[in-house]
Amino acid sequence: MSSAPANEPTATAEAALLEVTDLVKHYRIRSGGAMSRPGGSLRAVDGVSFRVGAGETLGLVGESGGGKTTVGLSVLRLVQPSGGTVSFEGRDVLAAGRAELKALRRRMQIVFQDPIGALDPRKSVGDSVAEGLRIQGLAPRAEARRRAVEVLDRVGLTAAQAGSLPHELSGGQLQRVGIARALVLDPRLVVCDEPVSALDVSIQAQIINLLLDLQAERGLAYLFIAHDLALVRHISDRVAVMYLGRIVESAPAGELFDSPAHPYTRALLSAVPADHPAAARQRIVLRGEIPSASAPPTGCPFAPRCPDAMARCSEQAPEFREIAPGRWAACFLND
Amino acid sequence: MTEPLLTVEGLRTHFFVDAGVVKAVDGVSFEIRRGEVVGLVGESGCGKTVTSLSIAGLIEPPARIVEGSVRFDGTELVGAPERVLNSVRGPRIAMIFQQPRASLDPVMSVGRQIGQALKSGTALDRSARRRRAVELLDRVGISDPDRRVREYPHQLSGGMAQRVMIAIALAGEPDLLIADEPTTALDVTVQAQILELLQELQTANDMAVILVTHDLGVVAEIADRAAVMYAGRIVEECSVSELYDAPLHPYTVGLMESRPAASHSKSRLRVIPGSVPVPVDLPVGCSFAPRCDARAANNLTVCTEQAPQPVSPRDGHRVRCWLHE
Repeated sequence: MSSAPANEPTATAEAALLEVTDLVKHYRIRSGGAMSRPGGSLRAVDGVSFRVGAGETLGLVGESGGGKTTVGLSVLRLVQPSGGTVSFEGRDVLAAGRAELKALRRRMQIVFQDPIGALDPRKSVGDSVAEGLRIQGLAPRAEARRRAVEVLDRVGLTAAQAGSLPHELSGGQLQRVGIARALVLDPRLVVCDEPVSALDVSIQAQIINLLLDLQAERGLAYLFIAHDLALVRHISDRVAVMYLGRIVESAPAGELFDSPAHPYTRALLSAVPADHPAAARQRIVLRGEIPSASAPPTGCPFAPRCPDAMARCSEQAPEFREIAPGRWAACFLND
Repeated sequence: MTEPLLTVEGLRTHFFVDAGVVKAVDGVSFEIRRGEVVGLVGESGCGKTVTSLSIAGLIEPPARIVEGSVRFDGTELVGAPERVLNSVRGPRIAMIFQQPRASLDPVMSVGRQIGQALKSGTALDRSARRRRAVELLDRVGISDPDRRVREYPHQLSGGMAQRVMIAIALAGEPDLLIADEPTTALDVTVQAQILELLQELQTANDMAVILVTHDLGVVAEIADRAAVMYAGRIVEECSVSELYDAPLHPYTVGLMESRPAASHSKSRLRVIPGSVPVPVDLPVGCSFAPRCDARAANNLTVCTEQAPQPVSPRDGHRVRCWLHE
């Protein structure tokens, strides 16, 4: 496995596989509903930068509504970002024409939380896996089917199961199909958006092991989006924490979990249930819930809920900067 | 020791469907004392929700309680007339669910929904009910309760909706609260708030709680005891500290070891092979036998021939496993 490069736009050590700079995705709000201001916009992603090296896993965590999923979709341009750049293997994803984008998507794939939503209910799962190869023009029908069965075998499904319709398989088996669909194109990067959160505990572990094995075999990089922090710690090399459309902290996984630098990260980690009944912990219980991204507070977005907020926090937004080698945070407390 | 608040004995709840008989709950026995928190743990399809619905008297066709007893504070609930059930269900045994917004009536204000629960559970008049509804909202940590009491479910966030459900559940000052995955749909920060609230209310009201969950961390957080279910049966029952430090059933051991926290970062997790059986054609003998490493390692043949009965190798610790016979 290659050594993980620093994960920030300013680090120059080696070219990253994926480099995202100042990514912005705003949604215009049309209706004059009670929650929106006229002509307002929802800032789902509001200036996000990160890098993912070859063979590396970057975990992306935070509460729902923080913008994690929009980041994942933007990387593959499954939504069109409002601003910023996404560079994959040195090529500009957001400027790519149709043909180039299609070629790029061979090299980066996505696995969703709900695999059945991504499968044609009337098609055998083997055909669904083979479809990617045919769309990409990589293999004729018979060859595509043969390779689909091969990949399905690798993820733990039999040739007989390849002939099944989606409703005949369990949740865990369907997620294996989802992974096979991504894998069949031999990508370098797979965006995993909550890939195991709909699965039972014993099945989660099977899928996580599969993802780890595939990474070791093929040098895959993962952008691993999840809300389960114990799981993210387990699978990630680096972790970035999102709050209201921004990354507030990023660091090597162990350091982030052992000594979080941002008050939001600290609160998030302290909210995780204990991993032992005797491990009584000092909990920072956050009051309230994540505010709407259509009316983000001025200054630091976390200031209204922050137990450590100072006067300047509600006036001025702290810069996201390197506070120690490889460790980045946006908080005045680290000044 | 005082009489348990709830005693479940030999409970069998089956679903009669075209494909056959689904034995969702197939011989469940346990007790819960006043003020005790029991975590009912297991994966989907293990029967934990059907067990709790059976206790709450909420089983409807095609499901039926075919055998067993549910005794609550001296009253038998299985087969009891509707009049008896209504005096218990709601006021004395209350229930909250995973999807609070789906359980709330979308066209009725929060205040009216709490009011309805108060109407059946207390003798308060209309204006007293209104005042009590505001008090209850305040009690469950909803800010500005005078305004919120007039709001509708769609105006509430997931966390607030769960607080409203808890307020409704508390209306009759129940002795037993059944909480079915109460925090599964919530963010971890909101989950922490709700668990803190449940724990505080439980202590203040000396209320017993059955916490139905797949999340072992939530059990560690607030339960006193745990009952682990597999394929319609409780396979192990013990204190939460024994669950973590000295689990006996191979299924429980597998569950505990498959937690990411139990192994080093980026290493493979311990897995339980295969998946949960469909409870139509359960294997003869122990339902877990086909997935059990310990059976193979110990070369036990009895596991696939005969179902193990609960035994108690340690005080307060029961397990259904031939390894511990």
